[in-house]
Amino acid sequence: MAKIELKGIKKIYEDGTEAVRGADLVIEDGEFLVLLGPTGCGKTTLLRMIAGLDPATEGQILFDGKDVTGLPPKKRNTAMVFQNYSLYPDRNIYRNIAFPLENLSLKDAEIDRRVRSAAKRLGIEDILNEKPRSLSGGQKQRAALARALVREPSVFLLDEPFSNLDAEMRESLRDDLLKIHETLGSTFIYVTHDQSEAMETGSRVAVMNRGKITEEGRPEQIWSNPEYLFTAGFVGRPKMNLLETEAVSGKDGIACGILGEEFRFPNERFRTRPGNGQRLTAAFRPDTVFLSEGKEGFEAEVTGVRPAGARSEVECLARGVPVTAVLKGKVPKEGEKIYLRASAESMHLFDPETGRRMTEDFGVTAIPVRIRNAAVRETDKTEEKESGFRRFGQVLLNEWWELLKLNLLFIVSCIGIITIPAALTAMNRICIMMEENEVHVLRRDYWKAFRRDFLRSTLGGAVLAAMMLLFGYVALLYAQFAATRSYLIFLGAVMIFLVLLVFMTGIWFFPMNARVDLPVGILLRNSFLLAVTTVKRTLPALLISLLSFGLGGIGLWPRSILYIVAAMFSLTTLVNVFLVYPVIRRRVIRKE
Amino acid sequence: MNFRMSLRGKIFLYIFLVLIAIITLTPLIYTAGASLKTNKEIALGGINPFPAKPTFDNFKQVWGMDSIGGKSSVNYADYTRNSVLVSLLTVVLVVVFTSMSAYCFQRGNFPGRDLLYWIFMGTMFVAAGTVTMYPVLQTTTKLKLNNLIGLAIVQFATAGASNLFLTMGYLKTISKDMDDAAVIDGCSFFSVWWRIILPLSRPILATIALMSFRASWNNYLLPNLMLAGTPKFTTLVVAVVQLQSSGGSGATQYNLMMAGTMLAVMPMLILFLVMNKQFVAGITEGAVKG
Repeated sequence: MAKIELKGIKKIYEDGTEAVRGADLVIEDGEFLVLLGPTGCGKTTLLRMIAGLDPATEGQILFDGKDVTGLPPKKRNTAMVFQNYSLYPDRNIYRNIAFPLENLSLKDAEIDRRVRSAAKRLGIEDILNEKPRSLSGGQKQRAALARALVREPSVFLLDEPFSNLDAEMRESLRDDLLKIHETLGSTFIYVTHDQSEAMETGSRVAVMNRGKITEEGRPEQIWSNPEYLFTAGFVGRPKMNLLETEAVSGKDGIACGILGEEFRFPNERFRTRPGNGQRLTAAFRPDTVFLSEGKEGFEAEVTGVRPAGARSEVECLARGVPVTAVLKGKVPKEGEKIYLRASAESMHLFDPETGRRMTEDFGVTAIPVRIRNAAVRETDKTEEKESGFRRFGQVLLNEWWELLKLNLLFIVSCIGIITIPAALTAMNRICIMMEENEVHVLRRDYWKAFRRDFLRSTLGGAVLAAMMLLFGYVALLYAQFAATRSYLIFLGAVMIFLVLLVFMTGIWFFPMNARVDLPVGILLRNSFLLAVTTVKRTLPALLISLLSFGLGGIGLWPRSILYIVAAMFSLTTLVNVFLVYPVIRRRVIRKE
Repeated sequence: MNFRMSLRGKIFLYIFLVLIAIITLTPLIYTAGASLKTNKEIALGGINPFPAKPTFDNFKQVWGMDSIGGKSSVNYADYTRNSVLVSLLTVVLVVVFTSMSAYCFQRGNFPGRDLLYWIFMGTMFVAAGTVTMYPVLQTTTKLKLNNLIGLAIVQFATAGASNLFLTMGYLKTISKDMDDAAVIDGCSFFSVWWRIILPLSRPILATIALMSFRASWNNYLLPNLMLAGTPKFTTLVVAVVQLQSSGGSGATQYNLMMAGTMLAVMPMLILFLVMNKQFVAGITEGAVKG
């Protein structure tokens, strides 16, 4: 939350162009200020100086009274939204939004919480895994807004954020933006060249022209009482009628001839009274012009009619001067001659030389455009707490295919891993027996026993895998409750643990059940040796599986690694069943 | 791209392409065939590229011998290792430093930038290696850099400008707003390069990596010049050329030369065939930006 003060800010480029020629402005804490101005007036340059992207040539920028003029952007706690989104194309939306937080070195859980809450606020939770390329303009700008929002900056800078979007999208985004402003309470500076947008959005509008802030105020004030001729012509559609005239000084006021009519302005209307014969510009809004019943007022020829709802914009030519009127009721046809009335009470007079207004302020009238969506005012600061079960369900629904694949991979891997020690145990056992010359043990029964062991351990592996999967789902559910960075991390971690567990069980438990008549000492010694050899032989495979489950789960690595691992383990299973099996069998039979 | 073409045009096009393919591939096919022939069969001549009795003896013989033709402690396995080492080191140097300097020239703002840039660019038009042969040799000798590392450094330095030119052209297509956004999000000048520019310029870096690997692998002049006299640093291409003068009994052993050539060419061919698709994919991916 910051109060921003600009003191005499100037920006002169190396080639001598003066982009900003002395800007003074105070933006109160929590204010929504709109910087309005035509293209090339220096408003974006001013914004970039506030952000710290460009250094100011002269002047001071204060945040809460602290001079930040020389500080780099990251020390100002500002966020900026650009016209062309500027999302990082190689990162998905989640990582785009998380980017500013990564630079703050926050904890992963905190980053995840903030990213998800920002995404939720802007309704882009379902596109977090997409790359910017595949999104529409509206979605991109929502993501960019979320990226700005996620750091909870004290100052929000928006550089024509919605000008690349269509009207409907623009409106809905603007409503969201106002909602964010109300909940966040940060200071917002919104740059636009679109006056209607400024009129509808801002709590305060500052008008910029040729590198200077010419006037500021509530939209209604600027609309009713423009300080400068420039603003009068710039703000409001259809444009204000600006007609040249000359002052004729009288005793209690002045009179002006406009379009052949005489308009009287009493002295009280002026803050600076024009002299006799001074050139003036009369300005009046098209909606203060009325159609007269008879032949009062000035004659005009209709040159164009634009219906706009209940009213119509009528463009006329009166004495060769274009005049616009907004008329209700009966609409004249093109080419028709009509009589129009305007009144001095609703006219402002400007000095065309200085461009300043000479008449006093009117009472502020409401702008005849839709100002704000009523719904915006309803604040919903209490974020609804979403149930973990629901999110869990959503994950199951949305990612069922991925989950199914992961589960199958997991089961296949478990079976594959468990058959390795089983087969090796069996082979080792035979070798021991041959070494010890205990041929008497190698009977036909042994083969049966081995086969039973082998199948049992394989089956056992499958059962264990299924059980572990159950645990995996519990972890998934927990992850949804804890809203950790990604449920897949959890699943990955659990899987690493489980693979290890199954592996160890495979080594130590199942082969021990074999009915082999061997001295216990030899068995113990050899099972130790066996464990060492087994680990040594399967270590690379194990490492790869750990990597793939861990990293593949997080989504950093392509799923293809998972498939490779699965293929590898399936292959191991096949090798065990079709190659190791027959060899053992042959040996056993030969020995007999 | 979908343009129509008349049948006659197509026929001409295909004839043209087939001709080019024949011209380009004939030496390669001949070499491949000859590497499987005996020296006698080669000496008999004839245009048949396929050996009457294919034999891998040439490869076995070449693999085990040194560049002078005899048995020695330094052999083709070492030459291959040298080539791989030098090429990889060159690629690493090229990719890291080209990306860094292109980023500084393109995005940085420091006094003398343009002058430095044009001096750097100027070196692109000097045929490095031939014109600068003597100074390079002198410098490396004085610096005691007559080894594989020195060779990699020289190769990287002489290729620097054109790589820089390409990379800078690519960086121009990355919107500067991206940098601004990253700076606002808390990045420093260096971390903008590391976290934004480097990942985004992957396609062009892959291209220059491939190109400099190829150039380094096939380089003959520099390694021959700098590392002559130290057999343990001989690279594959140099060794192949030296085979010409070998053969012991007077006659040049073409079969061994051909086998050696195949050994030198094959890794590049394999690399190209394996990586080709990936590089094309990477390059086109970069063309359509998000």
